[in-house]
Amino acid sequence: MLKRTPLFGVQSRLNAKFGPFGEWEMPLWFPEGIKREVLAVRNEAGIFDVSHMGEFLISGRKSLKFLQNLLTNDLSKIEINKAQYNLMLNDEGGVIDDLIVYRLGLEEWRLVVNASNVNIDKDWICKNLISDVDFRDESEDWGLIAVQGPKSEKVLKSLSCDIENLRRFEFRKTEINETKVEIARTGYTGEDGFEIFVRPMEASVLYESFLELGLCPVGLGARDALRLEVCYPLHGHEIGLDINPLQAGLGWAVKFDKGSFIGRDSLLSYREKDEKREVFALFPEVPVREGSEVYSNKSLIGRVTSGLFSPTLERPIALALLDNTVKKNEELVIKKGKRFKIARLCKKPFYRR
Amino acid sequence: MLYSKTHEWFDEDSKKVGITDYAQKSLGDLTYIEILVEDGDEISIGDEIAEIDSVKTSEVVYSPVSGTVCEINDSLEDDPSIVNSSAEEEGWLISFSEFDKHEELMTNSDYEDYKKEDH
Repeated sequence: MLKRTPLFGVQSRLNAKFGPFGEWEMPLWFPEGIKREVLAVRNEAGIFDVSHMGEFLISGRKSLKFLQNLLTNDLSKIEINKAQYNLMLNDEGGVIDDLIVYRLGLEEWRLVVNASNVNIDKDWICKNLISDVDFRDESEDWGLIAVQGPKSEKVLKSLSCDIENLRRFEFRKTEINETKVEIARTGYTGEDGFEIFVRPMEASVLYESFLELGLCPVGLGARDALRLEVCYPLHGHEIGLDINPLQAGLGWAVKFDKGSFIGRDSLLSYREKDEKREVFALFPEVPVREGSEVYSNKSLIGRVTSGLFSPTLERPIALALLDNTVKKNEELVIKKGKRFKIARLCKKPFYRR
Repeated sequence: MLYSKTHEWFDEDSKKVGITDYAQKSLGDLTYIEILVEDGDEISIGDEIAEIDSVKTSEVVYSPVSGTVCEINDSLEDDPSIVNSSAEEEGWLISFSEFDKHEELMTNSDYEDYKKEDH
């Protein structure tokens, strides 16, 4: 039996098409379809159920020291009520998960992790836990709703939510229509937007208040298209145990100068290597999918990590992990089924607001 | 109209082939359709005749009958959403000039039962 979020009921009344996503039964799209959902987020605003994501609470006297060793970014740089993108690596430099860390207090942190990695992350964190640090899995205690798109700010203000001066990657405890929420100006779409932590009991009332304002409900299909258009990595695709952050172009979230952290030595020796691989953006002539082989002059140089038809650009787009010897204007060939299709490298991201 | 287990339809009168409305619904918004055969091609049951892409997935369409291809539906290349709006009429993929009927195809009521088994 698949798990359901607190918003399953309201989303099935909206006739969402559900599908399995890890352990979860999640909405893939709503009756108006993925294209309409993507364009609604780009041009107006949409609402997403991301309650399946995991929330961990880390606290204690040595919590900063612990997280500095566990994660790649420099957590001493974030102030209370601010958030930061991080990667959790294994000793080989592979990515166990990517996550957002919220600093709730001087020695209190919330980690928001990918739904399908909750148990793996939990095991890894507990294995590395040190004394004077407490870990608590709060995943069951939170519903999470994302409001994304250029009209998000206006929508929240109309529900008398205090987001005055809340900047990107900032976090605040406040209320929406008298419902207690914790709101962050973060997201996974490349648009302005907010992620709202709410108690599970109150999640569907909040979701419905956004629907009443005409926001478009958005499923996981459009979420994937939106993140790919702005080249945000997805764990298991552009990052994973076999793809390190440097290959994924996430070096900006790896702070070698902060001191030791798990995976640091492996990344440093990778950096010295001559033969490297990198995630590149491609325009293929037809849609290509994850796993498709990419050839340059008849030799295999890598594989597609994500690919779909972009509703915003109205053309097929893809990311692929390739040998970094590939040249900018080279004509590449991608194997699709039994046939070969042409692709060209392009600049990241495909879309910028 | 006859139906295959892989959700293609075949109309004996017009000799046209397409994907069913049920298949269209489970794919979602279609973004690209490539017909893999040309008029005059001799094809057999189970041959790949088209590739259909939605935003999220790619699916291959197999021929439910054997025969000689008469015509392909050119308009789908410019507007694949025709299959979303009219999978079993305007959204036909190819037509045949001659065909051999495939015994395993289902009637409408058999196909209704088959869908309920959730394939």
